[in-house]
Amino acid sequence: MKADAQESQSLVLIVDDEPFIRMILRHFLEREGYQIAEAQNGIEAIKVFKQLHPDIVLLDALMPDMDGFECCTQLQNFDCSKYTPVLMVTGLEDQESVDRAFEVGAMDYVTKPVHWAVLRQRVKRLIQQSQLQQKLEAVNVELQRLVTIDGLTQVANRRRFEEYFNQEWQRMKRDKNPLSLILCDVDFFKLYNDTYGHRVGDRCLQEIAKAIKDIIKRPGDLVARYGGEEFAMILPNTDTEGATHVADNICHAVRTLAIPHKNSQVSPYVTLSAGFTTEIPQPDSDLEEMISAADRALYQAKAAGRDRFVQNIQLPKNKNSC
Amino acid sequence: MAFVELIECYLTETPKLVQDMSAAITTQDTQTIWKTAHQLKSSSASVGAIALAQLCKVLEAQGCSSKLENSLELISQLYQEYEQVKTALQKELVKEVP
Repeated sequence: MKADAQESQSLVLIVDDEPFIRMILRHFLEREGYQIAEAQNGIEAIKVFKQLHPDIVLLDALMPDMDGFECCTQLQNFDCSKYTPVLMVTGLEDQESVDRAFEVGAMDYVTKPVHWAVLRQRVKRLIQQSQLQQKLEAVNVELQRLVTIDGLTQVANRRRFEEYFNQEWQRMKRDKNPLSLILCDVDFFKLYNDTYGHRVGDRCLQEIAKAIKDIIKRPGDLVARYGGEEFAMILPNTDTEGATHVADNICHAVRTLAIPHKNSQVSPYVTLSAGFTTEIPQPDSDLEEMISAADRALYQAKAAGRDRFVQNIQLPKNKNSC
Repeated sequence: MAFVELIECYLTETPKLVQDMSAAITTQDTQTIWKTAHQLKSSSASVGAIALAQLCKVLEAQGCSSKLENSLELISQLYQEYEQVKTALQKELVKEVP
């Protein structure tokens, strides 16, 4: 049975200093439907590898100039070699050589004279495995992205917010640095949806998310969709002054978008209310309390007439109160 | 015709290896004995020249451990064995190419 269509496109790099062995391997593998490239020693193998990115390398161990072990070690250093299996094909049968081959990164080992039926399966399996691994890793990266991103607005989702806030809280506690948290809410958003419909409401949220993301640019900062029309920003290493600046910019940016909102009671356009809090997490302070504090400030911004930001003023804690 | 090409390749490469081996034994160059015997072993085994491959295995082991024994006798056996293999393979070639 011949290799199927996908495998037949696979490129096999044969590395051996003996012309006879290269020829016999080429002959056999071409019959199986593979494309073949050849190299006479390790140095040449690396050159060809970089040029052609083969799907598998069949590597002899003993060769002049650079042997198979050294070549295999060097191949592991290339980014493009991450998924490329190396199959050692050698006359060395001692345990030390076999151990060494696997140590330097070979995926499998067959001895000469080659048992063709075995080689055929090994080559096929190794290529399949590496293709499968590539697919798996790509899917995992995508899954990882999907579980942390809000589908509608493409900013972080609530799950990612909780995870990141926890992490940065602990980090700021260790480093004794200020952590700021901004919570904001689109003003009269339910009315907006009722007036223009949910599809338009969705687009409004997308525009706001983008406007916020354009402002929050430091790599350590995080913008998340906290709830329906609520967004949260985690700003590590940011003091009150910095957070005030950011909160002001966000409210201003949304105002500048000038998205019409004819039924808003505070403006002809869509506006935002924001509340924030800044603290250096203490060993006895509570992460949940910090979120509540930002929420209280947001509530105050709403009560004071919306389209504004308010900083939560931390009440001095009375340790004897309970 | 791939079979013919393979055998021709073997018959071209092997005399060179036998020559290298002979020279290496004269100069007691164990490193070269080891490597040449190793090469000749796998290609010979691949064409089914089992006795020749066995001889190479002995020489490979001696070269590797740098302990040569009866090396002159071994090289003469190697020559004889190769001649037989050559004759047998050439017969096969004649069958393939009418």
